[in-house]
Amino acid sequence: MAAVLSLQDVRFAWSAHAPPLLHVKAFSVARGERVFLHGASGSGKTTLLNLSSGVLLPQQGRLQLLGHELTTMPSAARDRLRGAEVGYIFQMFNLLPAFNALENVCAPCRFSAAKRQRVAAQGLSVEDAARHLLLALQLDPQQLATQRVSRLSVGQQQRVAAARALLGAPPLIIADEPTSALDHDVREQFLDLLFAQCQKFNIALLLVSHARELGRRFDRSLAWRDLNRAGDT
Amino acid sequence: MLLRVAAKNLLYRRLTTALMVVAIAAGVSLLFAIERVRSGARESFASTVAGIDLIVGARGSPINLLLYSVFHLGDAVNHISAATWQELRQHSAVKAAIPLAMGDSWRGHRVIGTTADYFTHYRYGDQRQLVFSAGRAFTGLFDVVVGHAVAQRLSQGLGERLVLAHGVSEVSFNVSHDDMPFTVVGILARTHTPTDRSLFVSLPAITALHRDADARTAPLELPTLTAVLLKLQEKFTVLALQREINTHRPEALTAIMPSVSLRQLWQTLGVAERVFLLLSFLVFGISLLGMTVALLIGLDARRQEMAVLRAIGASPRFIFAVLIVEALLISLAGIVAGVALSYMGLYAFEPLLATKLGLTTGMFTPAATDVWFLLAIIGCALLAGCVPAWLAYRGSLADGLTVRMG
Ligand SMILES: Nc1ncnc2c1ncn2[C@@H]1O[C@H](COP(=O)(O)OP(=O)(O)OP(=O)(O)O)[C@@H](O)[C@H]1O
Ligand SMILES: [Mg+2]
Repeated sequence: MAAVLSLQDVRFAWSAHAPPLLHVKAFSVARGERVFLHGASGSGKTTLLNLSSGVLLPQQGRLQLLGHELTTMPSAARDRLRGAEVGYIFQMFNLLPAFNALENVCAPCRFSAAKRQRVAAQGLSVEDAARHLLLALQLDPQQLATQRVSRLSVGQQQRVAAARALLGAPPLIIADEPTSALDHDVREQFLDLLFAQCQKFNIALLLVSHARELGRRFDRSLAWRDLNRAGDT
Repeated sequence: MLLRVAAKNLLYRRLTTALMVVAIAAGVSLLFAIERVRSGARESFASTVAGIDLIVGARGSPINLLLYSVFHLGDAVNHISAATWQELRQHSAVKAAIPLAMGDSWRGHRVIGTTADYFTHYRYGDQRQLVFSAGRAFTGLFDVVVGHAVAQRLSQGLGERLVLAHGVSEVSFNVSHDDMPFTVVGILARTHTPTDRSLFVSLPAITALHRDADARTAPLELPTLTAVLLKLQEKFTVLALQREINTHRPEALTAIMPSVSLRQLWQTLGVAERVFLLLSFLVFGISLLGMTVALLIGLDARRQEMAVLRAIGASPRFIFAVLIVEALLISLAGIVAGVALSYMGLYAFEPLLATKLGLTTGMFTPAATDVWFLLAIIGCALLAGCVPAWLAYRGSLADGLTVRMG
């Protein structure tokens, strides 16, 4: 099975004089695979995710998203590729405050024709697909269509963000500590729902967190210090 | 999507948006109103004296002569004799000499003693002749012809009897001759010039107005005149005739060419005009600055929002465009509100501007230059919007998907 994401000998430093922050010899995520990455704060995990989604470029190495080499791609094309093939979930403040929850879920489809097409292939309109996802994530689409996102609880906000990442079934969802703001029960429920949808659409999940105990639920659990060779001698 | 994001953001921050729009509307309305009054003044002044080659008055400042003779602003200090008018009338180079005797009024409107020549030879706008909308020129001693604006203040119109007052003021004192009513025999069509606000009587009627009741039966000699408007047989003789009149012996006279004096007037007023325009530009500039600052202050709170947009596929250029479009929408709303506001203001102050400045035309008809003017305003707004847009662009490049403090 082809890799959704693959890094080979990638090196990254924030500036020419700074010590290299990140050196990944080989790392890949397979289609539909759930990968967990844990590591200390400030060690470079978010930086890795920024590289993987084509927002940052490494100084060295090969970096492929669905077989497309990001390092040689113009920045506009990288933005488009991210819009089409990646769903992104932040730790907090995932939603556009000026849009209601339903509009937030639909927003990526306005940027990406590829996502729109995949939704259409399911025989659904974008809004209907969004409603289905919200329902599957145990949210009430009726209520969310009218409510301000700032009035939602953090747990609800994270589920709306998950629905947004899932809509249009991108091959890869990147989640940067999506459960850190949630307490234990809500966190478990959130992961259950996210996993179910990823499985349903065969979406690969790359999730980063401090909380090592989450790792047991994933196909693969990695420690950042094993992956990152920077600073090794 | 771009327009949606920008519009939604503005709606979400309604209060800030509304304040920015109000500030810009204030700036634009001031700028626009002053520009309208300015060009309206030029237009209506220029259209007032179209068919006249020379204006003759007592020795004095040319601009004064122009102002009181055709624009009815201020009063003549000295007068000229009727004999001079007769002399000018008989001059071989002169086609028509229209006498003007001012100094009396009806409810604040000027009463002008003249001859029927006024109605045939006076021209305004692009060489347009005066037209009677009702009635005819005066023939009898107590006949009066009224301008369009005066007619609006009449209760009956043609045939109505008016009591004219000596002197120029809104209220009539007891010097008004209650026993000498004039009859309205003609009403002039609208011209958008001071003619609209004037009443016209024959020269002997002016003399009669100033006479004691007991002397009224004596034959009426002609009154002293305020000015004489000359129309020449041949245009090219104008300079020679002007020189001739300026060196006139029996009485010290000044002859001016209206177009030349008008140009001098604009030069004199130019400084004040420019100061006004500069001030209103400053107000507009400050309102734009206000918008820029408000957008800049907002940026910091919106960095996470930008990161979210980037995460769902927006390019840094899109972020730049969002802010530009926001600035553009705000200023467009401000411009529309400002122009509407300035029209409302002009409309409200029209009577004041008309009576105090003699502005009657041009203010409400949009000119071709207005388009450039508005485009320039939008251009300024775009430039102002570039500052926050550029910073947002830089910021989103630096932030990527992770917003850090500071
Ligand atoms: N824009 C930037 N410019 C310079 N240095 C940066 C920048 N962003 C991050 N860094 C540095 O890179 C290092 C790694 O940051 P990163 O955010 O990737 O850590 P992390 O592993 O995600 O930490 P955490 O678990 O706290 O989120 C940090 O030392 C940070 O100071
Ligand atoms: Mg991080």
